[in-house]
Amino acid sequence: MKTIEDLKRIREEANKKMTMRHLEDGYRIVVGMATCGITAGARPVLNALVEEVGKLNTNHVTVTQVGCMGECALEPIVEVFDHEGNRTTYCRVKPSDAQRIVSQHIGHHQIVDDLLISKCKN
Amino acid sequence: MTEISLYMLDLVQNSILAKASVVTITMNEDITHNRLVLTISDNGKGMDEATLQQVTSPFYTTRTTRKVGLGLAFMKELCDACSGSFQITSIPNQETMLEAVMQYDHIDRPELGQIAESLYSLMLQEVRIIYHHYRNNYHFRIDSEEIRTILGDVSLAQYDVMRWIKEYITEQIAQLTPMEEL
Repeated sequence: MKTIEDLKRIREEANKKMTMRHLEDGYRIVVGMATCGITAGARPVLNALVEEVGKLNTNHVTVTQVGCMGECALEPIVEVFDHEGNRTTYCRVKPSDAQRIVSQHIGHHQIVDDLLISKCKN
Repeated sequence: MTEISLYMLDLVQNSILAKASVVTITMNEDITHNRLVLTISDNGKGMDEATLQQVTSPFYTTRTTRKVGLGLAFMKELCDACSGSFQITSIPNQETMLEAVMQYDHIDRPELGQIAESLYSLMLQEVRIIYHHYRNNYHFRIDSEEIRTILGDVSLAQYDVMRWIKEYITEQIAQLTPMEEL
């Protein structure tokens, strides 16, 4: 059973581990979480992205939630913004794609081609 | 939508869009009276009477990307399908509250689903989430502000913190009633 004491311990350990691995540049990952996104399965995608980013142990990547992105039929939609504001839009993302987006795009700066909205067939 | 927890997530996003700083969610499994009651109240900007009349229509929305808005319409339809009721009231800039009631053992009532995942998604956002879960007389409560106070400057998005929050919520809800009482 998890207790509040465990959470306090996690906090102390996190404070000790101040050797965070800093990436040179920051990324912002945005997940569409309106009714259309949620219905299409955005919640497990968001949770998987947070989990993968959490494993990187960096504070240079944030995962945020937004409303409807306007392409309801192509949800779940995930957008990645780099430090220059360049936007990459991925569509019909599955929780199992989160690992690739984080390791390939964030980790190795390589766009995950097959998930791009421009490659999406209706 | 296949889980009550997804409806909950969707409806609380409305509160966040309405600039609420505090959202209180109550999930009441009133098995004794065969009712499931979900209430969500927030201190967002709220709605006037004319807007309230329209919000459960699929053809009413505040979004600009589409002409339909299905969140509240879905919830109302589900309540109707499960021999329940749906109500929404609002005092602009004070309190907006919705109550969704369903027959607990209705065959069309979806399961509660991954409440911990929905709550964690909500807690990552800049809003205070106070969640109550009742199963008959048993009660569990979690308040994102208390979690943030314990964490100090450690982020909720940290891997260990994420695991703790989700497992803590799941365990606490699971142990609300001994199985033999269900």
